[in-house]
Amino acid sequence: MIEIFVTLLTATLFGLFAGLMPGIGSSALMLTSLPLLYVLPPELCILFYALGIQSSQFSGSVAAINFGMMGELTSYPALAERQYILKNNLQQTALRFTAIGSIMSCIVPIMCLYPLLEWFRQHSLIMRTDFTLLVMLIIIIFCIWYKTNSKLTNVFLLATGIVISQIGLRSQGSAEREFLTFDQPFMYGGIPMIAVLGGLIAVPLIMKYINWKETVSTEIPNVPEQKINFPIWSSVRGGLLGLFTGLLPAVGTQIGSNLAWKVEKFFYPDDNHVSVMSRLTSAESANNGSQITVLIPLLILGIAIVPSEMILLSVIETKAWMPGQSTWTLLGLNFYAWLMITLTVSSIICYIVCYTFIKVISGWIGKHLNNINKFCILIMAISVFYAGSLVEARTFFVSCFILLSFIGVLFKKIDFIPLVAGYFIGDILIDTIVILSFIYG
Amino acid sequence: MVDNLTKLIRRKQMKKLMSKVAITLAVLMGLTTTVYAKEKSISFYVGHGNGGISSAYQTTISQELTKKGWNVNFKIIGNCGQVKNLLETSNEPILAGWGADWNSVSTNVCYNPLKKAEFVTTFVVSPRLLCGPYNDLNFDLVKSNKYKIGVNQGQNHHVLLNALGKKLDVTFKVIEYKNSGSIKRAMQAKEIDAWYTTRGLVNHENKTQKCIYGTLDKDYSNIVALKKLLPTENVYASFVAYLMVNKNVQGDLKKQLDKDIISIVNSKAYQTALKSSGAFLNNNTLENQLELIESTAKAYKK
Repeated sequence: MIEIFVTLLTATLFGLFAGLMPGIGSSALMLTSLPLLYVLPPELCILFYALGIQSSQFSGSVAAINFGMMGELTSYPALAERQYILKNNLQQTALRFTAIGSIMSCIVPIMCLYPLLEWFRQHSLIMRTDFTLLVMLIIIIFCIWYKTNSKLTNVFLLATGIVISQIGLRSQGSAEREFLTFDQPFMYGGIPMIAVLGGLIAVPLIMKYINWKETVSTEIPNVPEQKINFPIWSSVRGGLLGLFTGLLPAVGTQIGSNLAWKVEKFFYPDDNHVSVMSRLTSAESANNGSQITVLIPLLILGIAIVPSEMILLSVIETKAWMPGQSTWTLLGLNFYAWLMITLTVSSIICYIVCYTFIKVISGWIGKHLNNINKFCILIMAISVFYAGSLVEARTFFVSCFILLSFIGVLFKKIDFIPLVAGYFIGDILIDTIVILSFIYG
Repeated sequence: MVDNLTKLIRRKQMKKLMSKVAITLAVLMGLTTTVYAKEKSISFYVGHGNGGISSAYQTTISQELTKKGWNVNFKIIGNCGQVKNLLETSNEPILAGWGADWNSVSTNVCYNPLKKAEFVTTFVVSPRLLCGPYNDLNFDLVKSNKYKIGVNQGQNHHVLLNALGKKLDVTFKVIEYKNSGSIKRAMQAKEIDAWYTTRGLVNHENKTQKCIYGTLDKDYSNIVALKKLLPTENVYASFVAYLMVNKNVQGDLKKQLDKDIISIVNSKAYQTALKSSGAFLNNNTLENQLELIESTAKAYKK
């Protein structure tokens, strides 16, 4: 029982903290939490992920509204509505609505999640290798059309990611063969995931925001709450949109809130209290809804579709976790029941913390942002060292992390998401092609 | 006054003496613990990947060794090549689990022929069984039919299955999957008609799946021993894993380690755990175990 509390509290607090920090995205949150994740059972790691990401999205939007910070792209709608909210003293109302929207859009998808997973499991088509290949192809298409880079760059990054994923010992015929290890035993395990994600994604992002401090305004006017009804249909619309966009590889969670915000603009195009609150609530609901459905490919097929989830997968795989085969229960309740309970409690904690302490916490973060970011990089480096020590390859892990961080910072204009996606799908993609060649060959 | 002063001096002297004794005792205890810990210290590296039967039992053995007073630095490296390198280059005493199939060909990066002096014991022997789909207790191979069989990749199972197919007049299309978990999912998805893996014995005994052939010594629970049907060496392709040490484990340390590990793998709890996963251990002599490992290594050759 104690482990559930530890997971709930640490994930919520870490998530809240990460959301308030510009630059600490979901991937950095998961990377800095690795030492804790290594000691938790796989199901609690998944809970930690869901709670941490949900809390970070919540506090990220609060920070965007109140201080104009944008930690992740999901906070864009909140940032866009900020001026009107501040001008009309709607902060408290916005906080309350985003909290209710978050809770609603967590509970509804989870209630759908369990029957949905059961349905998927009973439909053998989903478990087939052909279907896995289809998912892989969708991921590849999304990576190639990933908006930040040119298509050619994305193809190059994706291919590089797939090649990097193949470095190490590979099963071939009756033997294990080396691929690009140059006879170096420390490379037999391949290029470590933690170094790839930390170096190419997390460190450059933190470096980008390391001096954000100067532009952060920590002033919050103490204003009375405005009397507006909660826009329930906007929340439902947003939640449902998030539910579907969450399934889109690599970008699902990012575009969910933006898409819901744009759709809601169609229903509420004006700039008045009700319209602004409806758009914001819809965006927030979509944001949280997508964080739940992003778990579906992971729980059914063992495929992670966003970078932060890839970190989660790499940890739970070391704990012998297999998709769809968990029988974990606690106090007679299964994983999904605990997911629903903890997400609800976590949302309430987020609301209370943001409502009560947001000014103090944000003020402190604003003052110490630079040092906190440096501290986060240090924790990440320690996590890399720790992960390396688990397989007796400390020097190699740390060297990879430093080298890839250097590349990440040097080429900061390039978004390395397609490379990371290629790295993560590389093994599954090649296995899938081999299996299908056996089946249809 | 003088008495009091004398008492005070004596008390101070006693205090000094007591603290000296305490420090000496603490140092002695520390030294003893260090020496004892050094005597029973070992690094235990797992070359098999996470999630498999081998790493699960090695984890159990490491926990039991700790209970027996060993200071175990247990790590699942998940890479036999790296463990082989550590075994060869480290100056520390190392215990490692090894798969007999890794020694099938000398070109394998993980090829590490067993030396008797470095051998400890086999810790899991799991027969490979040809089993039908879940809940189909009438499963059988029908002459001249074609079957898709799921097997673990990179172990040349197609050699045996093709020979068996010829013998039974059926055609097997062998499909190689990454691990037993993937094969299980393929079976659930009805992508394959049968599997040839180390899973299934428990299901067979619980009557939720029917297994018909296996790499067994003799027929068992209506499962036909493949060696009765085929002359090929591949009929010994069970999963056999054993524990071995590096050159730094010798003399009393090796004797103590052998004694403790053998008592662990022979314990009722360990044997029950093995049985629950469809594996077992033969109470073979050292020579028989070495023979089993060698014949298993040959069984994975083309």
